[in-house]
Amino acid sequence: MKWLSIVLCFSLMFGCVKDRNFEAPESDSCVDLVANTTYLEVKNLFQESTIQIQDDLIIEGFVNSSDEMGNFFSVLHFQDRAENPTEGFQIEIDLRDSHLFYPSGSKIFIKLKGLYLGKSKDVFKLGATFPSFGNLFIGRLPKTVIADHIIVACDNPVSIMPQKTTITALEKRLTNTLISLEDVEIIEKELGLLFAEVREETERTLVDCDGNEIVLLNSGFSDFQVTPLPSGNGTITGVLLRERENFQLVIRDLQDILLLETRCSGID
Amino acid sequence: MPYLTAISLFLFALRLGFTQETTIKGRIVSDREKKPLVGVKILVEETLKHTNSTIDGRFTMNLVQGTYILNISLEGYVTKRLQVTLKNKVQEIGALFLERDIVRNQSNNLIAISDAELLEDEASINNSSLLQASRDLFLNRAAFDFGQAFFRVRGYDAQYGKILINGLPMNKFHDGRPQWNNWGGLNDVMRNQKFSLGLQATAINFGDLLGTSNIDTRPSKSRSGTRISSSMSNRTYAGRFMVTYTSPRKKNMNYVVSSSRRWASQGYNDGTLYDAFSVFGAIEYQMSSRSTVLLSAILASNRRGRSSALTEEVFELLGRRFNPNWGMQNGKIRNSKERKIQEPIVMLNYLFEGKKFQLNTGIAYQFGKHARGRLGYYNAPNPDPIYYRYLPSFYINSSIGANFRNAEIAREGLLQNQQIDWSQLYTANSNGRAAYMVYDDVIKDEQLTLNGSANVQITDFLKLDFGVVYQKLNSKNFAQINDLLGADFHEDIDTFSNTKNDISGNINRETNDIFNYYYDITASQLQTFAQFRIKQKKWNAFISGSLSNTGYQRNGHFQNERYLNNSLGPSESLNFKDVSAKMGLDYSFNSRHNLQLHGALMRKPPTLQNAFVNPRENNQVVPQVESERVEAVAVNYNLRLPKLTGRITGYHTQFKGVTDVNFFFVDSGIGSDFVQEVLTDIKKTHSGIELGLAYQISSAVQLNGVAALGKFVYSNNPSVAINFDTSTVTENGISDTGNVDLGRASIKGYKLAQGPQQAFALGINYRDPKYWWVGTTANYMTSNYGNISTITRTESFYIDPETNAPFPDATDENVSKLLTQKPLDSFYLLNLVGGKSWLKNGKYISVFASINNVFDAVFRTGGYEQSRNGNFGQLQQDNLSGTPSFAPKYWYGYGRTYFLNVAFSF
Repeated sequence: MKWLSIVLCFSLMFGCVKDRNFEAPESDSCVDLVANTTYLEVKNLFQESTIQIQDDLIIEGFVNSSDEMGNFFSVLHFQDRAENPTEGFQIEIDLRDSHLFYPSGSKIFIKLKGLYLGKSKDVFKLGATFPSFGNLFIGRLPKTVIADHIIVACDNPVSIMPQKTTITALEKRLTNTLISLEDVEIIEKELGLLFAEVREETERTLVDCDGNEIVLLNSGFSDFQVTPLPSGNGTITGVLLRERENFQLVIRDLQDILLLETRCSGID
Repeated sequence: MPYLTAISLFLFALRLGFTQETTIKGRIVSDREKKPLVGVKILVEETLKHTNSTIDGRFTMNLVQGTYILNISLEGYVTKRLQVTLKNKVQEIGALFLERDIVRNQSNNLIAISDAELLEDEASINNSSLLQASRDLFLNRAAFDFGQAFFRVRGYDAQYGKILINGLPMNKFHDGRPQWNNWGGLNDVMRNQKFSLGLQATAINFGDLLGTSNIDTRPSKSRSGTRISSSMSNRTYAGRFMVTYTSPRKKNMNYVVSSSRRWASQGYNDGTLYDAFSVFGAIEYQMSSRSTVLLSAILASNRRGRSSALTEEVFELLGRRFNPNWGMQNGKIRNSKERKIQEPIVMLNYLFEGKKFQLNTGIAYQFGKHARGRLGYYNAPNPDPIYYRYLPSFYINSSIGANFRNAEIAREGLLQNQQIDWSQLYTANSNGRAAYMVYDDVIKDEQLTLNGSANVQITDFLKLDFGVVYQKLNSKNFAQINDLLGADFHEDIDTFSNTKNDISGNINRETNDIFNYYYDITASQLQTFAQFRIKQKKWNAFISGSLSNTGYQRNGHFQNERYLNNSLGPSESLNFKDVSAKMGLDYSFNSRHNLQLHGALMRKPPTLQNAFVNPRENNQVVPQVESERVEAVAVNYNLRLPKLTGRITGYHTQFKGVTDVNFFFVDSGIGSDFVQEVLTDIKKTHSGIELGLAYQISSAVQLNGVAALGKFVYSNNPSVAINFDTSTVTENGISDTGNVDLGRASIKGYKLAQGPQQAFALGINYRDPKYWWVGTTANYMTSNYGNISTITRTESFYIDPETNAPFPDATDENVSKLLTQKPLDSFYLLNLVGGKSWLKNGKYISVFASINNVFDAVFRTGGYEQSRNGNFGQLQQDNLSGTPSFAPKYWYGYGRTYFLNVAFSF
């Protein structure tokens, strides 16, 4: 009798606690929202100075930048369509290694309510703010709210087709979109230099065989900063940025730059 | 002639009257069951004469006529003090009833361990668990009331309390402390503890500064029968169920089995799961009335989710229960920082208890695993929701100017997203390489302990005790991948310096692989002691000496790129030879007043964690590593009046030559890097007074008060050196040599972080004849300090790393504004306890309830300064806003908590 009651008591050792084994999350953290406005409509909200967007606006886009190689930092550049985009946009975020969450080619939705819209050097930006001399400028969105505003769509990431264009055909509309330029090369006096000076944003110059130039912007913190510039001629893919009237091209990684052909002057 | 007869008769009568012997007889019976009690100690307080009751509860003593106080005691029962006046030749005082001490028995169930214990390398474990065995009023308060606030008796770290199980020491080589989780949940069988406070002589071991506790697991020493208990709480665990069965008392063979389970999906702090079970068995074979063989086996498995210390900013935003280490996954709480301890012990003892000679020998083997989980991140954003860059203070402390709007956005974002987002971590791992993974820091130990001690009654006043203990440890230490969180592999390189951790192994590792570091430590110690005890009528004295020989050695299994020459293979072999001595004098003026004096000079080798500079990385030992020296004196005065009992103690202890090793990232005056900070030649002084008084207002009501007045300070300026690896080529790295001597840290006079240095309690207990009781204590604790950063108190603090010259603003006035030590808040706590017991059909039912911190006071139990801001300019800048990014972190005490226990014994 005594044994029976003891055995009964042992078997009643209830109190289940979850063990340490977890299955991968059931639902992906992706959501499918519906965009209800275009980039142009959002940009038109801007009057004279930085404003905060008050309406429940949602835009969608395809990320074309990547910070995996360190050439981009604390920003996402995106365009409205994966192929033949009409507009580009950018959002400043306080998030490093964003390629892990918003890789190039992923489709995103951005909930604009509460975000700020500003213009810096004639380019529109989204984000939060930072004050300077009494004015509000676009600053980085704090990490704790990024996932509430930027939502990854449930579609698989796609390959973004860069728009083939030439230096002379560049227009403001293409800002923040992925483009490719053919038959370009690094100017002769920069051959032999590294992609960038250590820890400094460095401007290099690309030229086509007609002598038109465009700035190639490289970060001094990128993984390929110590790599020497390629000496050949060929195709470069990158995100088109702009400061007022001056265009700049920023590559994501060394696969974007394929300068293997003979130079314009005939030299390799 | 008749006159002569009359005179001589008169004289004879007078003589008889003055010195007439009397015989006192009585019978001791248990109050509830009305059964006779054997082995009850009856002591005559005035004469110190004593006897024990026989199997039928009877006792007899011969005394001279007069008035005496009889002190009647038995383990597990309330001691009774009875005044008797003896006039007749034979005095039969009849039956004396002893009540079960349900207060103490139930109190043994209280939990004293808390979350702060779970943090690595933190000196926040208190010694309250050690004290639960004691009857001393002060120690009881320290354990059950002050323990919530991490009060430490005399400010001593738990390593100075020696814990023995059946004579075998259980303190660990790693940090010198006993690991209570190795036998947690076995309160029923660990109940039989003999505790001696401070430097008193103990029979079977040299002992230690704080005291010695020996747990006796013999089944014959506890009540036979079954005991089932069930508990509910909201402290560390939510529920507990315990069953114990002790075989009926037989002459030869007795055994006991006990098992318990403790569980909680969340303890008091959010997200802190509790998952523990324990099993115990002991068989005792009495070969003869004096010889016993005892076999014991203990398995206590304890798995818990940990919390973290919080800055004031986080506490204000998220509350004291906040825990950053967990998040929801698939609808369940997942804590990234689990700790699991499973280190079973098997023990065999042979005991001989003769009249003039006692022998205690034993051998114990312990093996098992201690694993601490972490969430690692590799070239990915820090997943900690309260990482300093995600907090509002980051935007306020920005070097380009305070950004209040962003701070507000960050604040709202933090309130919405307080926990780890596990699904985001899986998303980041979708490319194959683990950006995040859960891994364990594992310690796998195997330890053999041998003990033999003997007690010889040389003459009837002189006793000799001697013994020898040998311990040998083989400890395997490594990091092991637990969960790749959806990734396919982990790249085993140090992301800060981009160097390999294991040159000869694969870079890519998978689940359950060992990575990052892998080394063994072998440690051994041989300790002998000898002690003489002299016992006289009014005084006792003892003198003890001990010799120990300790050895440590590290053996690395990984060769890493940062320390190519000294990471792989054996280190130098460290050896420490230490001599210790202690002595004491105990004088009883009479039965009411007793004075004790104790003194000790001890030498202890550094613990393993303070002997090697960075054992995960290399073989380096602490330069000029030495044993620490302890000089201690203590005076105790014990008072025993009929209604008033108490003790007052004064103590003064000096520690010299203490070593400490700390790890952190620092932006110091001479550069920035991850460093191992080695402090040597530390001197500390602990001095103070302890007071405990109990006044029995009536037989049912007791009023008691306790005071601890202590001062624990650094008494010199220790040496500070920092060590770091030189493989990181950073512009503002520290130097090429990997090691810099920073000189002395100006910390003399700074208070130690050893819990509240002053504590007071006032209490009332009521014990009703109908077997219920209540008690309440009002406590006040003050003078508690957090751990200071020593690197900021060196000369390098004044240097501007940009100019290599002192900051112009770093005047003594400005520096002291930043560095003056501030105490933590003082606070009041009210605690309530109560219980009732019933006896029905031979079955004993008892209920016990306790409520701690009835008024839900918010208080901090401890904390530490962060060492990140290692130079004046940076520390000053960070503090300008009032919410520094690298503010000190604190542990917060529990609010109102309860514990309820129901037990059945039959």
